[in-house]
Amino acid sequence: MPLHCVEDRRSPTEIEEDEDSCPSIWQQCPDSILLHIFSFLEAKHLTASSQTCKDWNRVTNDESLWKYLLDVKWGVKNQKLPPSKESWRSEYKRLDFHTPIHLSETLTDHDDEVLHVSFSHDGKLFCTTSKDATIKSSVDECDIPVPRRRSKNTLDTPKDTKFFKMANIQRTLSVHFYTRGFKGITHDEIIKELEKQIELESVKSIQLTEKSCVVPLSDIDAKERLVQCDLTIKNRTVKFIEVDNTITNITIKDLPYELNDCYLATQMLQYGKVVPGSVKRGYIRGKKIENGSRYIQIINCAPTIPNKTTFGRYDVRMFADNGRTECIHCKQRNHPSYACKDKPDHSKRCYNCSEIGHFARDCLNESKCSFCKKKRSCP
Amino acid sequence: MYKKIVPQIKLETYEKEVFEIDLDIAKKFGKLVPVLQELLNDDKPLTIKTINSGTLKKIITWCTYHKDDPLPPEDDDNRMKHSTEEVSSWDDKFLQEDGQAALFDLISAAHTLDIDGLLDVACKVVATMIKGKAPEEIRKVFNIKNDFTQQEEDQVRKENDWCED
Repeated sequence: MPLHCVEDRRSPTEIEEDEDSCPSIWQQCPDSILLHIFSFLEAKHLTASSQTCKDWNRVTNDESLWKYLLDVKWGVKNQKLPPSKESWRSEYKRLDFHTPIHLSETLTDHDDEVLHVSFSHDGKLFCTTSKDATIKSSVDECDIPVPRRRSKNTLDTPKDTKFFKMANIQRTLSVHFYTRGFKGITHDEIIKELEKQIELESVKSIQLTEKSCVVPLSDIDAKERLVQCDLTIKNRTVKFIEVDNTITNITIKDLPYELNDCYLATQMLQYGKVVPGSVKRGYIRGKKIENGSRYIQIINCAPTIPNKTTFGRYDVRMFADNGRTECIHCKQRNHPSYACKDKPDHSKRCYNCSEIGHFARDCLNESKCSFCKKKRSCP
Repeated sequence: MYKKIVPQIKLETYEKEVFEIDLDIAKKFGKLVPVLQELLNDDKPLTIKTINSGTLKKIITWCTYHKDDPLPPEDDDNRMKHSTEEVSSWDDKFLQEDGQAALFDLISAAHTLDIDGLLDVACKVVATMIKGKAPEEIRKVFNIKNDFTQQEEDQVRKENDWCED
């Protein structure tokens, strides 16, 4: 009868011989027995044991031991190791060692289970979301309005809590305006204008880039004042916008003069919130005659805006920045159509076959309709 | 006829000594039980070379003493509770009276024969010996040679210093 459960193939006498000489019997012990012994130990004894010798170190780092300890302490039975975690041991260390254990304050603002907590980068502020569908923030410097109530369903997912990340709360104290079109704008000019509206003490920095100027503030009142007022920089009116909201400029062409701006604004609502009073009409340069273009600004615009659409019975063309419309030539979104490098050379289009590259006098093709691309049959 | 009423099994140790064990006691031998039951009708003893006579004698003493103990609970919930139970004073004295080498032999024998109760108790005794000691003290108690280099030792200490109080 074969017997396979015999693991230690050394005879007992051999072990006895080893007793006085090194290494000791406990170092040669099969892992399964060591594991069994260690399973009766607590974390601090385990770590002490792991420092004795290599073999014990290897065995004490066994995942089953740490998972068991974790299970006893926090109850993680039948759970798999989350893919982002390195090991159960590191997880135990994180939960046991990296957790602050001093209770400094008990907050009782929430009526129900707290789902997520986010800390700001400097660790001074935090905000929590709870099953009672509220978001609370602990702010020691000033009171920041955070969205107070959302539907219960949206609060459960961690994806939504990104929205409540403390960094964003700090960002909500920032305002910005687009500097496109300004050449050589300087900090001094901006500071001079800001001084007229708010005290400079609440301005933390002025970040000036080619595209925009971001002004983080430390005061909610200053921010509200800035958002409401207009600044005049280099004889142009600019408007501060909250940093969280991206503004997309849309140009609409081929609109008739009669179409009023209100109608256009309601039509544009399908793509996002229209900035109030942002609808402007385009004029022929130097004259007071309109050219049929409209300029409109949309807050948090939809990701895609079609190149062509119809408003009522008018076919219009739309161009948007921030990559919202695609180039009509190469279908890419990183540039407007007029800046396309693959733009076909329309100066050499054949009138006969509508192909590019030769004139009608050199055309060898049959004549085609330019609309249906068939042999002339289109009425 | 007598044999049939109290069935006995034969185990041969490393020293070729044959022990006759009552099946009641042998029931403690976990996964070996079905093997032993098949051997009942056979007169040839089962040879287990990794166990010496002294150890087997102790095992039999232990099994006889704990013959009427309830079987250890199987599920994990009870295992936690089980593992924190104190070792009884009789067990403690019984296991430690012959020194470490004997205790080690007993553990490996209990492991081989799959005697859960004995293995648990013996391991607990060893665990108590480890508890509350610094690495250096543990080495001394178990006669462990430090095979770390200085560099490795520093690194291991660094990895583990979070848990010391």
